[in-house]
Amino acid sequence: MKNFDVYVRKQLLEKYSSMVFFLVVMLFPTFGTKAFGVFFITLFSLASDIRHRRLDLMTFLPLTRRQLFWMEYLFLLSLISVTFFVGLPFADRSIDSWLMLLKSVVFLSCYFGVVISSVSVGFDPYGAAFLFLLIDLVLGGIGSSRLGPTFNPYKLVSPIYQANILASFIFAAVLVYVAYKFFTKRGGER
Amino acid sequence: MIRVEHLRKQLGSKQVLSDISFTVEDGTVFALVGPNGAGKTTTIRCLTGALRADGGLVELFGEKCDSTNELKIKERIAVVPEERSVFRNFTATDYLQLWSRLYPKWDERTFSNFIARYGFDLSQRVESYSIGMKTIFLIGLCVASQAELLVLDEPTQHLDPTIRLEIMDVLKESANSGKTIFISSHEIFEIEEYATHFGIVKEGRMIYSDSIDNAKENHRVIDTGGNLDASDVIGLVGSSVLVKTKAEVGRFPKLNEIVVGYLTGHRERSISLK
Repeated sequence: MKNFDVYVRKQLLEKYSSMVFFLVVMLFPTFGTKAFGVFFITLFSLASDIRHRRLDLMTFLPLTRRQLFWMEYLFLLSLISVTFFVGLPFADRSIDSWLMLLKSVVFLSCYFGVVISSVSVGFDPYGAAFLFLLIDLVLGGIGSSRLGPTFNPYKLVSPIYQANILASFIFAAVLVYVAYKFFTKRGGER
Repeated sequence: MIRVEHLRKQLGSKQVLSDISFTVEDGTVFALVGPNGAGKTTTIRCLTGALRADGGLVELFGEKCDSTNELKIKERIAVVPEERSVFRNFTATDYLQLWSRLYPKWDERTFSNFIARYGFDLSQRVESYSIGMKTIFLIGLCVASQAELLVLDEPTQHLDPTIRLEIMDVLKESANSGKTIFISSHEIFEIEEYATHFGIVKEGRMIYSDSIDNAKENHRVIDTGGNLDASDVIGLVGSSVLVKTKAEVGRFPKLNEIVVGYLTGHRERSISLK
């Protein structure tokens, strides 16, 4: 991942003012606060550059679209990890803490995938993110994740509910892959 | 160095480029001219990999750009974008660090000379520079990058006359040292001062491309009442007519007359088609 440090420096310099509040929120060791922070930080990511027609600033430099996509994803993962480890001393020392980190990564991957995919095909990333959040809340809130008359398979993969971590992880990986394809093909051309 | 054939690009529902073809040799200054919205900036964006073309061929440094060589090719290209948009919170020092890291042949001495010559404050945010200062700063970065291909969108726009001349000299020197300069410009009167080749773009099509010397040699301007027999009439230039011929008629045109002749000529043809 050549030039990752350059990219991190650029993102921190350009985005710190909009990210700092959410980074502080993400220090709280609960999945809800982390998901809240991740949701908004994802919106201020590469998607925001595409929406504001500022992607050329980077694509004119010796950086490929492939690099930009993975560096941004890695950058966001780093933010989650850093805030997790900083907040770790104040959290319960149990497997649940580590599970929370994994759930945050899955949540980030899903929303990152949705936001980048939508902005790459010309939709508004903010609108798409809030719409997906609403659908996720409503659809994931129906029924149960256990086999039975009220079984709701979406609950298993829902980024918010994540009734089955493995299934959610696979779902997140698919969304990230789709976003990668959209973005590298012609993401954000305006 | 650059070979573009039948380049096509649609943005949204608009066909911005429909047929762009040209070649640019090493060590030349190629100027892309044309009216607003003709497709100059989109051509530049396709050329530099910021946009993917829908069709046609773009070959740089003898290679077709793909995922295996994209980064290596981009390291050999430096760009000054049209709107002079810059990273909002970057100081000149931040830019220096970014570019010196991304361009393997970065020349610190050239950049320092530029900074000293134009009195830039390295701790100041580049966003707060005047548009003219931003232009000079970005050109400084491009030249110091030691990239083999410099792509500059309207490089002399927003500059005062003295600095324009200096920047033109800088570009000429770069071309003399073997670099290739690709510019887009509206300034058809000053292009002649530093460009060696040019292409005229209109409505997404390259309607003429040649070296400036050849173009002048192969065209004549014939005043009202002159003999137009056996001449390929290109278009009107004021009250005169631009023709393509090597015959000893009329007078040799200036570059701006060739550009105007081609632009008006094609407009008249499209009007006559209606």
